[in-house]
Amino acid sequence: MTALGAGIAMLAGLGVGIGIGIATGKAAESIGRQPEAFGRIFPLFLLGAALAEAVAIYSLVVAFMLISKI
Amino acid sequence: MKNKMGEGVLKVLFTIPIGKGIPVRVAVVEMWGVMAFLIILAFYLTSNMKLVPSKKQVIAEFIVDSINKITKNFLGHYWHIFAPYLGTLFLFLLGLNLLGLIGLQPPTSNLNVTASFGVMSILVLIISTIVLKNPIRWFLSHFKPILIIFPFKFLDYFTRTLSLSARLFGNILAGVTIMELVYHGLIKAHIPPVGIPAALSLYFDIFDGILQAVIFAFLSLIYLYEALEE
Repeated sequence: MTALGAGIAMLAGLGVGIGIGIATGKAAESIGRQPEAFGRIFPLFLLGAALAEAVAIYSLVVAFMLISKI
Repeated sequence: MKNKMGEGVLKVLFTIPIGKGIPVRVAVVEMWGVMAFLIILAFYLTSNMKLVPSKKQVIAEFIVDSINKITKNFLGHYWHIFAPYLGTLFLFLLGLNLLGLIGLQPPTSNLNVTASFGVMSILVLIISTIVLKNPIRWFLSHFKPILIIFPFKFLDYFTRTLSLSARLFGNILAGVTIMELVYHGLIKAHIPPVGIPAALSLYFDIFDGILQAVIFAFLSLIYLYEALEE
């Protein structure tokens, strides 16, 4: 049953994937409009993607904790 | 799969015979190794400094200049206080995360180590805000827009500590686990583990390690800017 719980915990990846996909689309579109702005948009995009990905990593930590029975 | 929460780095290597004996674990020895490497590298790169820089001095100047420029860009006034702390934090975390390339398990794959880094960053934030800005005004700023916002701002410190530590811990542990699974899977299937682990390690060990070190230092910088802005 803990394996089932760990699998359900990883459903958080759904929202994270959608969020990072939308952010990348907006970043690519804005760079396409104004190619000189690449240096200012890229750090912001990386920061946003890492912050969103952290939520998926929290769910991974929960899955690890369930499997290792802490 | 024995290394589930990264306890492999918590094995006791030897015991310092002071008092009741202080256990020295693998993670501490790995951190000593990275510290020694960084200190020797710093002394070597800055020996024999001349006005017209030699090649190794250019490397040192490039590193220090980039860190100073980024801190000045994002932090503004107090950059000369925090640039050394943020630079050291970034270089130390970079060295620790990339230990996976040598064959050791990175110490940041354990929640105790990353929690200490997270607590350190938040303590720097709190103490520097109290010292550099008026302590009374800092305490009253927690009630600022509406009185009811105080519990949220109070919880904010703990949330930021937890998120900083858990982000670094989870990313590095996931990389270590996947690399271990790939190695053991290839060995069990009687395929020599050459080539495929190297290609995977390019993303999981190198890219993820560098990105997480950058994100940790950059987020500490953003929190400092948010608290110290005029």
